[in-house]
Amino acid sequence: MARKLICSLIAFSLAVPVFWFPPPARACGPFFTRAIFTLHLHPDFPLSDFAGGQLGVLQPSYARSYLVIAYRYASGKNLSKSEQQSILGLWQRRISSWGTAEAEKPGPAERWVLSRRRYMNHRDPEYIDTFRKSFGGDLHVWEYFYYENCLKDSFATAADTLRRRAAAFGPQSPELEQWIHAQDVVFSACNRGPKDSEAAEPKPLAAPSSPLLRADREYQIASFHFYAGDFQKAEREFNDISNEPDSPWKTTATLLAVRARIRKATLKDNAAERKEDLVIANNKLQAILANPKLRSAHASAGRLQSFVEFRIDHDRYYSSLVERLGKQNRLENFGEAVGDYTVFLDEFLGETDESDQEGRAKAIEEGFSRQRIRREQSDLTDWVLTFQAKKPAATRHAIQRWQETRSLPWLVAALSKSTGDERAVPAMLEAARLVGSTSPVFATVAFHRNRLLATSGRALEARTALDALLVKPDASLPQSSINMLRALRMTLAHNLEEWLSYAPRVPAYIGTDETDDETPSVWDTDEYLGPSDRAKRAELSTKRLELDADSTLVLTEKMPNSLLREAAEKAVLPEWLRKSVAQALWVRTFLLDDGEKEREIVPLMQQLFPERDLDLEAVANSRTIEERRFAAALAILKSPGWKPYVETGSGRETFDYTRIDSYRDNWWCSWMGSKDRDWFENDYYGMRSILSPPLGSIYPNKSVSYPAFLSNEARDTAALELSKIQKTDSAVQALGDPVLQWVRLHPDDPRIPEALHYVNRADRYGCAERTKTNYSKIAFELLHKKYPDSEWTRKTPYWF
Amino acid sequence: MIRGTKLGGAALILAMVCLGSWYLVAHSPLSARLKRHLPRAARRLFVAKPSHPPRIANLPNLYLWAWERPEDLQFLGNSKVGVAFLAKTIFLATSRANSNATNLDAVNLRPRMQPLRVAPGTPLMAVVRIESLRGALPGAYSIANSSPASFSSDEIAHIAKEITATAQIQGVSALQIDFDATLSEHAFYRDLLTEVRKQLPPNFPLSITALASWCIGDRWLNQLPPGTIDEAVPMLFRMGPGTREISSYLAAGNSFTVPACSSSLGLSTDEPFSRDILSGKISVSDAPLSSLRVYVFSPRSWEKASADQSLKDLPSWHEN
Repeated sequence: MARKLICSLIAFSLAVPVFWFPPPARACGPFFTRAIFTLHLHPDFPLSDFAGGQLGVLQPSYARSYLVIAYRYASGKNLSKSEQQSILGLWQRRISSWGTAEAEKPGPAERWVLSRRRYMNHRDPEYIDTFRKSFGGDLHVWEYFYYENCLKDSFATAADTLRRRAAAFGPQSPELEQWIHAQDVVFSACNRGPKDSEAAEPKPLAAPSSPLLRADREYQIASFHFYAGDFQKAEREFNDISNEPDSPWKTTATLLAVRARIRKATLKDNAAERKEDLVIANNKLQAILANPKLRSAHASAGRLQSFVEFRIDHDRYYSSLVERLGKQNRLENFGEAVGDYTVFLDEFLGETDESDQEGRAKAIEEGFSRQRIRREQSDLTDWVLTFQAKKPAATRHAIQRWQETRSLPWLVAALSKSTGDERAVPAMLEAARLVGSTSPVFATVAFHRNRLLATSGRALEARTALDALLVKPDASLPQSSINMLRALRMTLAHNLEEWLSYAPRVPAYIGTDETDDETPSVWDTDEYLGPSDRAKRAELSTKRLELDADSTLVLTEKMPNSLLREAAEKAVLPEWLRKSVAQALWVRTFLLDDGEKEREIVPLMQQLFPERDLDLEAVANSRTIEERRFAAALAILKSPGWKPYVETGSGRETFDYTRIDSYRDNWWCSWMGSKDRDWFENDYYGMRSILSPPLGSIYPNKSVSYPAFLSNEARDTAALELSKIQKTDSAVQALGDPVLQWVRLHPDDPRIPEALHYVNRADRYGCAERTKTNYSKIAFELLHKKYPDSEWTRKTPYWF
Repeated sequence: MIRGTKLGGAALILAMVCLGSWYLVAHSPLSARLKRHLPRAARRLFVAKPSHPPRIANLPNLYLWAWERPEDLQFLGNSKVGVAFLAKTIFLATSRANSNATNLDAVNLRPRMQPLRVAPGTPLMAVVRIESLRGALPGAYSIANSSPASFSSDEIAHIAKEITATAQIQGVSALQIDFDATLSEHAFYRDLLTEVRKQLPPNFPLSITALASWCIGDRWLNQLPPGTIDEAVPMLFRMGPGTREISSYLAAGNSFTVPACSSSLGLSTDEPFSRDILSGKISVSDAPLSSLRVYVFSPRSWEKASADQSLKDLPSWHEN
């Protein structure tokens, strides 16, 4: 008795934590592969196409640096090749996965050490810490920060010089060794204060040494003082070098003398003193830029000038930027200028935190109103802020500006914002008609013109124009733009066949929903992906046609089953999409308990799912309602990927309907249940059937409507069927009940153990929705009590 | 007299019965379940004020996080509000799958690059952020290969040395580590924390930030050797897809089940859930907010006016 009690207590205490365990929280992950049909944060890859003027259908949600380029092309101020390269550099830096640059290995200093190792018998210098602590602060303020003292170019220059000196003096020569030792001392100053470094200062070389080495040493000494923070001495020494006609460092030293002044300024607390130094530096930079003999230093001097001007007079620099960016003047450092300009815009709008999407959207709307004066001062700023804002005032302003200027950028803004109700629409449509196909904004203008034609009762005209564009799309048209045009054309379809021909689209990008889907990440590379994600991406990258949410929402919620059947039968869809539609039709017919229809579609299902041939045959041959229900349920139970809806995008982890998805995207959740869920949980339909932001221009109400070709009767049928399906239970209950009923009626049916096994699995791996009945336990107990010798019983060792 | 004695005895017995009942009710497992159904205000009757471990008992009850942006917090003056500032970021870098590099080659350091200014004497906590790219540690994010990380003890000691170096920054009186370790990185993180504790002076406070899931579901923190950390700060902002689940879980009256998470909270000035907690509209702990150590993040540089606005309902904001 006592033993029993102890055992019970132990069992109880073991069981308590199990039942008491709080629900798991997903603070991070899982992350799913996503097919993106139209990118909305940036243009399609490669970005060089966009930089070259292939703008496609512009999205207002693009990062502003892209909109600056769009404005330039729309204004007829095309980018030069060097400007294109420069802006690509900016995008590359900005779009890189966060942390990648910081994690770069080997880093610049390490690369220098590797170069050095070749000549020093693998003896490495002391660890080079490129960061140096600020020496600010006093009795009244505690201050703390580091700055990057030795930048990557310094290590690259050192490595390059080392290679040249090794070639000139010999890799094992004492001259080279002396040079390397002096350079080690230079880099040792990277993280030391002036007092720490005094003892180790490199000494000038005596006269018998090679003039080249003497010049090198002078440069090394000046560099040492620069890194050690003795900027006055460094500036003087660099100036001296710049005056030596034979020094190979003459030009570099001219620039570094200015850099010493700038570094000195930026580390000063006193604003007036800081500005004074920066003004001096700016004058010197202007002199360098005006000197054709220093041409090789002009690019660096230009970058430094931007840096300095930004700090001397914020507003003036902004004004100079907008003036320069608005003109076609083949800017040196164009990418940096665009980068600085967008930093200004971010500041004007008050955006700082990228993770706060709602806050950013709000900032854009508020910024449009708040920055009226800045908009008045610059057409570029006006255009960018207006193009991004969604409020009616922005639409009115865009139309007004177009009416005032009749310019292409403002036509683009006015068209893209128009709802079709504005009085200016006919004039805008006429102006749009005149935009030639060679214009960089042709795709944007064509898309919005046809969108407005459709909403203005000129659908036929829009259809014809879109067909002309889509029959043989321009090879330069980005996939995102093709998909936008197809999405628009789909809404104008005459009949089902036409609708189906525009529904499938090739994804423009395969992303991961870890952040925003659209930012390439090292995590998207094969090295980091699991096998199923790798396989899926490989398949999707073959330009496989898939369905975006606008199509699947219509198929799932706006079409009757009779049309789904037609869709599944039509060869206009590729086979995998026919299967997607057919499986939804099968499950829906099952849920609606329409036996006659179920039998009718058996041949179609057998054709598309030959692996389910016998199970489907059993449905066709069933003699009673209960047997039909059981057989149909069994077919679904054996296909975890079947569900009453059509899958969006990349869908489940696997394309194989018979395989279990690792994240319980198996069988389905009830529609009713989803209302009670705060989060999507396992409601994959709810999670994936969301219209993307670009589709918002076609569906401003954020919901799809019935296809125009659908009769009222068909619409009523679709609505009725959907409402019935939405009231049905989750898969485990919908499938478990017919199976259990059949067990009661025909316990000797040899298919029963298999069906019970799958009921058990469906409860475990299907939707996590709780049901009143524990189907898993019932199935388990039935198997073990009534069918103990079945192989399916052996395969069912647990209930859940 | 006798009557008075009787009454006194009865009162004493009654008091003892009450105290005994309170003790039983407050500490029995059954009551814990029952308590969940009581309003949080009522449950506080059963909950003792959270006791901070001795090492952190004297730290301020309010810290402002000063992240990687220029921060001038001199306006805090001589108040008892602390500043937890990002002092260093450690990048556990790229995959070593195709290289014969040592593990230390996979570590990059980045000190704080933006100026932080505070009044001398402000209680300072140095925060070290650890970033690991997926794949940096073997098995990270991979279901197929979930073997634990394989940094050697020497390598872990090296990383720990980089972390504990921040404890020597002048004026710093506590250390916090911020690392969103994934499941397969827990073993590495546990070893790292153990090593950090070993390298720190015995009485030096060690705090860590904690994903909310560590405090209610994935209770790996309980496996740390006793005394390794002094607190785990549940981060109730930037929770991503889990936001609704966590906020619903807490708003429904549930509490953090991991003891290390029970004495502090990490909040943000720009998220409604955090704001509701800061203003006292929502309670997420059985203990009153005033007894918890609260860390507050601001997505922008701190300014006196915005700090006043965000923190006006916190008693610790007004302590001088």
